[in-house]
Amino acid sequence: MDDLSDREEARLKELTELYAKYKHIMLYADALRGEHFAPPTNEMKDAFDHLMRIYSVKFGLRPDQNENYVFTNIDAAYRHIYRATFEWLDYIRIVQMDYITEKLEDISSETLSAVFPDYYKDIRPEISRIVAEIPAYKSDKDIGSPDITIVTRYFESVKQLRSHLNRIERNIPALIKYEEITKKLEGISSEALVKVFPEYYKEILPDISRIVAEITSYKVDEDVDSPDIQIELQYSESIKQLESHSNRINSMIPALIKYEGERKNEKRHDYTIYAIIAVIAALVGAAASVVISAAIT
Amino acid sequence: MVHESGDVWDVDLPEMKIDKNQIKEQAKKYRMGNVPLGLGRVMNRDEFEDYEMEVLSRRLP
Repeated sequence: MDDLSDREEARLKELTELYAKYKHIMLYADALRGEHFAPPTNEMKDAFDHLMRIYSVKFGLRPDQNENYVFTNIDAAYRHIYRATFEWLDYIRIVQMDYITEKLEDISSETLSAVFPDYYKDIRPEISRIVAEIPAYKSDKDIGSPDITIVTRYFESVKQLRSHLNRIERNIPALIKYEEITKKLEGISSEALVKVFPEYYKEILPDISRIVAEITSYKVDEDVDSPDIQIELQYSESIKQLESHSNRINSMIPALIKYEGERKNEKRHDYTIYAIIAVIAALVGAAASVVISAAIT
Repeated sequence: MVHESGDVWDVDLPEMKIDKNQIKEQAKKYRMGNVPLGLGRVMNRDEFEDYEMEVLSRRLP
């Protein structure tokens, strides 16, 4: 096999470095939805074809090619891998966005603010920034000179999204539990809670606040592949405590609803009495005015 | 297929065309390939563009 020129070797080294990034991205992306995304495979098929053209010259199968032939084909292979990498990065960005919106769609903003304040403080603005930034990279992918630093920058953005996604994923059980609790108590007055379920204000609500404060204070491990076991255990314990409160509240819901019903009936009864009194007063007033006017005449 | 000149080296490969129904039928017939592919879980460019539009039209909570 003929040796590579310095120029060819340098470009082939860049291609190899780019492929390392491609492979990393591809393995992550491929596992996201359990489906095959065809466009990058198409690019890789073409990259392979260009590499084989190079071998055909280097192994003497086609010795009479011009001196730029090998470099041109290494460059063409590089461009195909570059485009394949961008195809996967775009795919990952969209799948991650889909995942985030789907996971959080049933969670109210009140719950998010209470249990996961970092979401509005840091994560949401960061996700919006990344998603707005990525199409700018996308428009650069067809420019004449593909640049691995753009891939690296884009790759870093996707890694950040992955880290945010991991934090959201970790907080989902707490968000769901908290949302469940607040939804259960919707429409229940504080009067009903004080009368029927006094433990709610005395014990349960302060304890829920304590657990939520605990959850938000846990430091999130940025390394998604090796989370801190101690923190994970504490987190899971907090979720269990929230669940136990949720169950306790659940058991009191029939009594609370009954109380609310009775209270409404009592109010309705009161309104009827007030209405009768008002009618009587009006009649007395009318009679009095008749008597007075008769006396005057 | 051989190119007119007889040299196929510099002929670009055709684009891969994906027919989901054909993939599913062949997966049943030959019992080969991986499960997602056999179920026709393949996304092509047009499908991706529709999916992208749909996802980006949703607002983050």
